[in-house]
Amino acid sequence: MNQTKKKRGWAFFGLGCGCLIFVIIIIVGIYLYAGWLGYKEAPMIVEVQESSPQLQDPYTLSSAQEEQLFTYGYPEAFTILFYEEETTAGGAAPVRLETWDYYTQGIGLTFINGELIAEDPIVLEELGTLDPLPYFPEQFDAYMSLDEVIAAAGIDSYVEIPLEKDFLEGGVSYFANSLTFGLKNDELLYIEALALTTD
Amino acid sequence: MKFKSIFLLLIFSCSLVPLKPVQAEEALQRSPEDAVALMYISDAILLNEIVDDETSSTSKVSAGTKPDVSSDETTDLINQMINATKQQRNDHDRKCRETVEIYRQQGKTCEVDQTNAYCKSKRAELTAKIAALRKKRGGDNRKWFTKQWHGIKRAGARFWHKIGPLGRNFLQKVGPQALKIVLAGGPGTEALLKNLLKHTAKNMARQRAKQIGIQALQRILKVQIEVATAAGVDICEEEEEGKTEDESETQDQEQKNSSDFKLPDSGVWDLSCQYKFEFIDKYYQTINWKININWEARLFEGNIEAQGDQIDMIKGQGGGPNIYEKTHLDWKEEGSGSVTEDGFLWGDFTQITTTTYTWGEAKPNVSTKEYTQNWIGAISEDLDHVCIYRIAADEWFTLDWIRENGRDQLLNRFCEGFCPVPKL
Repeated sequence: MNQTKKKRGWAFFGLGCGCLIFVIIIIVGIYLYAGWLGYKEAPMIVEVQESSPQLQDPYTLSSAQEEQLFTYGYPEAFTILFYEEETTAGGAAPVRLETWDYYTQGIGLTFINGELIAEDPIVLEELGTLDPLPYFPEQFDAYMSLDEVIAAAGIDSYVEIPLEKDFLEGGVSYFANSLTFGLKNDELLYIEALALTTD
Repeated sequence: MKFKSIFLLLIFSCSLVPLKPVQAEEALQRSPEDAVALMYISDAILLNEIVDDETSSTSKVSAGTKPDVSSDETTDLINQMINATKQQRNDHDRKCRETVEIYRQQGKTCEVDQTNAYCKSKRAELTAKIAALRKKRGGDNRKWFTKQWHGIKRAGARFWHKIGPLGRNFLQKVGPQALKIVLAGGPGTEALLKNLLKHTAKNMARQRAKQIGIQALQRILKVQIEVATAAGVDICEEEEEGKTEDESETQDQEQKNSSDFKLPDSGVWDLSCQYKFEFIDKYYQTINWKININWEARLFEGNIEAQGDQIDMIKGQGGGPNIYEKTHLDWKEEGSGSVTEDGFLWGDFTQITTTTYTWGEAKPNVSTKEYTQNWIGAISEDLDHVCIYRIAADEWFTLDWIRENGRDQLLNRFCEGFCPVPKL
């Protein structure tokens, strides 16, 4: 009888310990899971260990763009937006909207799908000395993945900032040396090569 | 009988096939708004502009509980997203107005209506996005569980950042060469960015970046109308009552003589320090309005390139709601023209009894000595003979002008859209 009571007592004790351990595991699991979510959502610096260099530029400049290159040279800064637009036939067509900025020459060019649509003056004071831009517009093409952008631009480190779902679901902003770009669902939609000055 | 049933079924099925072209916009997986949003958030992060969101909102928005804006990085990032969306909305509004004005001058009323409808729809989307982000930022209104969950996430994230080096060492020594290894993480977005962006020609890049977003919008508007026209959609609507169109004229930028600003005799305005809108329609909590105004801008001597800070200008008084608290003075250029603008105000209006709504005297608060030379500094004295008029509807439209010594002069042109660019 006493032995039965003892066994029952140990059983209850074991059960209690088991429950306690289970609860602790649950709490730790929630903590680690929540932390992992927070970690993934947090901005971070990423160091690229290995990437295959891009051997060929994915975008071919149009004749209008090449003509402007001949006139003004490569831009000191540029911005490219990639998106789709409706067509009158009822489908969707890709659009490449880009601006090439020549600060020292005081002009900005705007192209849509390679066609020059605007030439705007740029008026600046105290320009300073511009660092040569290490990027060219033809290095980047629509909807490139992050790996492709890294390979194209030769990036060795960058800042990655995941964006809130309410702002842009699947959107991530990236910042690298003289470069900022944004991807949605790992597709390049925006890239901007920034002119750097030595202050 | 069997074949007849099948035949009838086929006919019925065919009737379900849409005859109009498929709405491609619904199938757009890479919308221009997404690309532009990425550009604006990049802009906001690079410039580290965190707007004091609550104090910059207009009073016509129902005042909610002021959120508890903590100083952690996540809140800063959300603030930047809010600011980016507000900037995007501002530029969207401005270029919509410019496009509408261009169509009006061309007499394309259908395009005007289509553009207005599209712009209002997109504006509403951006406003909803801002509201969602504000809610996400939270504060005292957040539920207890939500607060605790976010706290656990932050605490847990620090744990993962700390063990990060262990994982990196492991990968470097044992695992295959990884494409990416997180070098550092955790708090301090600004510090992270400074490591990579040492010198940035911010002003240059930012100005041009916004321009590309504006051009994207104009192209979208153009395509929308072409698609609708091609689909045979009747996009024309009856003109709204009281809509007037005036011819516009441009003025040489080098002309520096001040010009009198003439208020039209349409009955919309009176000549006292009061102004009234003629409302075309009114809904519960929404009032649509239209104004028509001929304007000429005077180039003040001195600093015409002054970028205004946010200055407390005037508060609405009288029988109406306070629709503004702060303004942004932004001297850009001079010119002249004519514009018919419409928009909407929303809020809790309780005193409207007629279709015209008058509210009270604008309180002048400017020094005539100083504003001719440096407007930004001229906020010190009250002057009886100076009245400042203001029409504001959140960030939809603002227009200031001064009546000084009996002459009305345009003080500020907030809306770049409808003002023609002077010839260089």
